[in-house]
Formats: sequence, C-alpha cells, structure tokens
Amino acid sequence: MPDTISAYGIELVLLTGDDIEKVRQWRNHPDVSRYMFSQDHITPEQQKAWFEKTAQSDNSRHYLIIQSGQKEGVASVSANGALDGADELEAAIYFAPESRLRGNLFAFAPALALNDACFSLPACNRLLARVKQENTAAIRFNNAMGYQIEKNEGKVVYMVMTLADYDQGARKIKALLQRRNG
Amino acid sequence: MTINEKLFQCFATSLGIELSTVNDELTYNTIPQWDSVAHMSLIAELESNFDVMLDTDDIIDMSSVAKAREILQKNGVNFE
Repeated sequence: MPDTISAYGIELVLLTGDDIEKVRQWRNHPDVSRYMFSQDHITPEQQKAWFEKTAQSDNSRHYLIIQSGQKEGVASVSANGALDGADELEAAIYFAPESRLRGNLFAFAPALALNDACFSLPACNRLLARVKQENTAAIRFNNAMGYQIEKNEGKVVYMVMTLADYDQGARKIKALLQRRNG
Repeated sequence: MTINEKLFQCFATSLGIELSTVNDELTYNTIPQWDSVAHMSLIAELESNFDVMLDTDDIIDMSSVAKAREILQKNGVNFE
C-alpha cells in the first residue's frame, strides 16, 4: 500500500508519530469510542506502544484522512498476514468528533480511496468489515458501497465485499464524487 | 409548490421523514435519519430539482436546511 493515496478530493496520508496524540484524543471521545469494540480509555503510553508496533508491521496500515488541509479522521486496513499478499483485507474508517465529513456525501471519499487501493493489490479478492449491530449508519454506509452482510454474531455484523460487488455498488457514489474531483 | 416547499420536499424525500417535520432548524446531527447515505440522496435530489452543480465546498457545508437554501441562492436559485 502506498504512503499517500489521493482520490475523490481527499488525501490519505500514512499516520506518523506527530499525529498519534490527536488520534488518541479522537479515539477516546465518546462519539467515536461508542462504536468501537473496546471502550477502554487509551493512555498516551498505550497509544505510543500501539503506534510503534504497527509501524513495524506489514499486516496493517493507518492513514490520516485529510480534506482541504484539515485532518478529518483515520482510515485503516489490516490482514492476517502481510497486506501485499493477503486475499482478504479488513478496512475501517472513523471520523474525528467534529469532522465536517460526518453525515456527509464526502464521508464516502476516504472509504472509496482506501477500497480502490486495496483492490489494486494483486492478491486482494475481498474486503471485510466488522460493525457493531447498533451502528446502523455504518451498516447502511457499507451497504451503499457494495458490502453484503455475511453473518450476525454476538451483536457484531460481519460484512464482505468482492470487487464485483464494489464495482456495482459504488458506481453511483463514485459518479457523484468524480463529477467534482475528476 | 413554492420554491421553499420544493426545498423542504427534497429533504423529506432524501431523509425519509415527514414533510411537516422539515424546517430551517433541521441539522445533520439532530436526527438519526441524516447519515452519509441520506446526504448522498439529498445532494442528488437538490442538483436534479434545482438544476445546479454543487462544488465540493458547498457539499461539505450542506449541514442544515437553512444552509442548503443559502448555498442554492449562491448558485443562482431565487427564493424570493
């Protein structure tokens, strides 16, 4: 995966140590953490340890979402093995509590940019997403891009999307975004 | 139908809510129906009904009914 992804009027820039405190504050905010699988408060030390571990790993990448110079959230991709050789990748995004992209058409921009980059990897056949059952907006959001519900288990919705699902599902959203951003 | 009623109807259709509940104070974080998917429908609905092409900044700023009217006016729609 590249260090920077530019598409649909936004940029995904690989997370650096300079931004991990800002990201920690977002992640700890109740509006964000309520939809995470863990609501445990993350300390600066835990955040630093997490960042150092992920920076060394080729199993995941974490990007800052930037729109018009403003930092809006985080987009992440992970796999059971190295991203470059994985046939299934798990994608996830979340927005800062005050992000202007929340509840907005442009919330799709970072998700589509990430999805495109994932499906451009030669081994990637499917994208996966895990969503809390109560997070109906995220389920609708994923459905709109082409994700299908695979199963519900323990209040978690497991979603999956093939490239064919994505090409079909995201066409309308891409057309709306690309009319403005080429 | 007045131009203002047309605007309210676009919100009611896109958000899947009763027309009577649409007013200038309706804002994105005040009702659960206003999510990114609904916003996508709203943008398509407004562009189609008012024959405008909104730019990126306009779409990102489109966070309430009052703001939508302001943006449409900026794009040449007359609400007088």
